[in-house]
Amino acid sequence: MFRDELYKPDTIEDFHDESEQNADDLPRLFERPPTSSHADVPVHHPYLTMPDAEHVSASDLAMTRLVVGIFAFETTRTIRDRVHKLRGG
Amino acid sequence: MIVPVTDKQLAALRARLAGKHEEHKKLFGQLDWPVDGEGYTALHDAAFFEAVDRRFGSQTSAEDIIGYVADVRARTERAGEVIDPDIAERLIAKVLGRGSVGEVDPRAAFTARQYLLVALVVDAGYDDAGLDEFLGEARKTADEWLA
Repeated sequence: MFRDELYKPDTIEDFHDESEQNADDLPRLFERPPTSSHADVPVHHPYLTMPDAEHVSASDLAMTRLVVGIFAFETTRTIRDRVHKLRGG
Repeated sequence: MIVPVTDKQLAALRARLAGKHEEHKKLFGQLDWPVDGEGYTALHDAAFFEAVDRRFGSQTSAEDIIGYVADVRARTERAGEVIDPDIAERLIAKVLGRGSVGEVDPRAAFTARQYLLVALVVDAGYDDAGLDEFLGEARKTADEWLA
């Protein structure tokens, strides 16, 4: 049990001494707010903003072209394979 | 003979946990330590047990405990000097049913419990009624230990 492991009757005087030695410092714990809590700080604008849709960069266009190109290539190949199979190829 | 926690012992600890420094010094000085020491330390330990149990859950990780002890040690210069982090972490873990504290230095362990108890109560932010309820639970536990 917690108490059984910690309590040693022959050290009871030490507890008294420790209590007196820390008596002037322990009240200082009341002086500052704990770091484990936090206060909400109001802000005037959101920290996160949506990207501006009107400004599309060159890299966005290049990526779009690449994706469309791959999609078109794969679709064409699939259709060609199916037609080939239907013709008994 | 079974001697439960007395109102005097409770009042002394309550003053400390309420931040009433001068009142605590006065009441603590009025304790007859050879008579009151066992009851006062039992109440103190029971309050520590209750405070840890309320602050930390069974899912508390070792990192959470280490972080809390580091936070308390950083609150005053002396706290950083006198709290042994290993002992403080083991004390919290023991309340959560992990490990053992049987072989730790009793004096260092008491110092750690003193700081941690005050910090835990400050963090809990009890009002007068809340502090009375908290100490009422601690007193029940202490009386069971002393029986």
